[in-house]
Amino acid sequence: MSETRPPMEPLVRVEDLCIDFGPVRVVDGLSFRIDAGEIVALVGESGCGKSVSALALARLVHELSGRIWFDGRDILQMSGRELCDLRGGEIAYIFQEPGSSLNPVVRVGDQISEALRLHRYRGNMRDEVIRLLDSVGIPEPEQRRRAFPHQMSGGQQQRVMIAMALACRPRLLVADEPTTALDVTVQVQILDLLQKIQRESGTAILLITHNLGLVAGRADRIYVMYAGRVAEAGPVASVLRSPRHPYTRALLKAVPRLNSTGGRLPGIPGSVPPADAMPPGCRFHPRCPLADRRCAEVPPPAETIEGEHCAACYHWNKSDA
Amino acid sequence: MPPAITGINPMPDPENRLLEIDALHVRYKKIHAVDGASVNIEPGECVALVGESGCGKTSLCRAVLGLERISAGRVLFAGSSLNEFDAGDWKKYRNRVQMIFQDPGESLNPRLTAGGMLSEVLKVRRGLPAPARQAETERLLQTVGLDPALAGRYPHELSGGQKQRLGIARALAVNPDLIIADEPVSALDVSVQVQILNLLLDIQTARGLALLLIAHDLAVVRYMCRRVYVMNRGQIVESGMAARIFSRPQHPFTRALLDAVPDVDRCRG
Repeated sequence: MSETRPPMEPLVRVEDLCIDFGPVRVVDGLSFRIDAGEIVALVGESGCGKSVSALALARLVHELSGRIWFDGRDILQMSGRELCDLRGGEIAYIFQEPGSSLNPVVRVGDQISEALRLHRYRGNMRDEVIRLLDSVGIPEPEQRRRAFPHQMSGGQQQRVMIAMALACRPRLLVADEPTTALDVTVQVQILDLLQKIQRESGTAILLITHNLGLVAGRADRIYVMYAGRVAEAGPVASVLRSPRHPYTRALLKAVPRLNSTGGRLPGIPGSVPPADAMPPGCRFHPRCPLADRRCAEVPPPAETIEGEHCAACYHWNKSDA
Repeated sequence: MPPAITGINPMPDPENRLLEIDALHVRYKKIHAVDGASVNIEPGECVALVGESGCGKTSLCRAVLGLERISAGRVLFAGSSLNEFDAGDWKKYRNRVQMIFQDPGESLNPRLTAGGMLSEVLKVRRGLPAPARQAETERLLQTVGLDPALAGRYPHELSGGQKQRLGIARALAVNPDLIIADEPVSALDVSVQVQILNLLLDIQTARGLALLLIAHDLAVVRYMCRRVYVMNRGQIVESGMAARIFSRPQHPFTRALLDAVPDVDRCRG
């Protein structure tokens, strides 16, 4: 995919990543890249491998093969020391349930300064904590830094997580379902905040979600994953406007819309295959209306549709209507 | 005064009410979880209750199910008040109102098979003898689109969608008139959500069931329900036909909820 881009080294380059959980291969030949300062979305249903792939970027999973470069450095060759600097320093993570990521018995301000201390921050710790809390939209940061996590709402807890993640000015922020546990109105605020961070500080963001709606209008590029492989990838507008993989199409059709007027939505028949019983060939073929014998035998390669938009489907140029 | 309920009178026929929640209050010590909410449901109708977490929608449902003490106000089912129920009334009532939960994994007994779970309900609630239970279990599984061969499976051997189908089958086992579905699809994968929503719609139409859908996803509500109640801080702030509320929301809270719905079509031409 990177051939069509100017010869600039992306911030993250992943090639042919495979991740095994014992005998089960949960990610199978994943390749993607993240350019500096862009928002990339990794979209898929539970068990598709999106979260473990993101953890692999900081080598937080074992049993992986393939190549991962961060800013031109091969992370599989990094020493323990280098990895410590990478984790939390250059790559920071926020997760789905902020409540379970925060330490319940430590004041939030102290948790943020711990991150600063670990990465050898030299400066006024207290001022920096207040500045960080302020930058993520916590009102009265002077007082709120002394709060315990349980004294905050879910949205505020997630803001604290973001402040902590930003403490070391990372170049990549991985947000794994950052809003799934939050109310819809809070969800919008958190996504707006992430977008603001990306715009103002140039932090690249890897947004992991199952919700295509969150990606539209926010991410630059999208990778749609199904059962451990990329089904379709490309610029968000192009993928959502003219989806080519039958899975992406079916997903988009299956999402209820506010402005829909009657009419039954088509579900996708069947369910996601379990990781230990993946079908041969294209992993979507048992649920696909276009599948033929070839689909059931040989996994389709990613075919370029236009520019960077590509889909792993033999039938991408057929209509499934 | 709380803001008045806006919109047209949603209930033209008071004679025909299956469930009538009249100025319900539920208080926990200092917290006023439900603060004078009124909700009506006609037989066979699909009604939604929407609101954010902590707005009191779960407390309201628990009060309807008799799991929470009613601090003030009334809940009438088919014309009789829950406040005046005796033990026998409660027993009958619990066959007429059933609940489907958000997380199907946590609401199923992990030590019973799918068939065993349904069979238990049929025995305890309907007093069916063993042979009839067998046949009825199979029929129920088929109704919700599960292969009867799955009857021997334990919950952990079923997928999320299959577990939710089983939860629906368990609710249907007593032939209820009203099903309360608390976020029935929010824990499921996107590709499975529509399957479950369509199943609920089919069952609701085929059996003339009333459905009270609790949801935060307004697009799901739009797809399922004719009428909507919007709840905020324990009060119903807006109610009426879904088509009207979604096109012309009156209350600022409803507008905020609608604005927050992620729009997949935002960058589609």
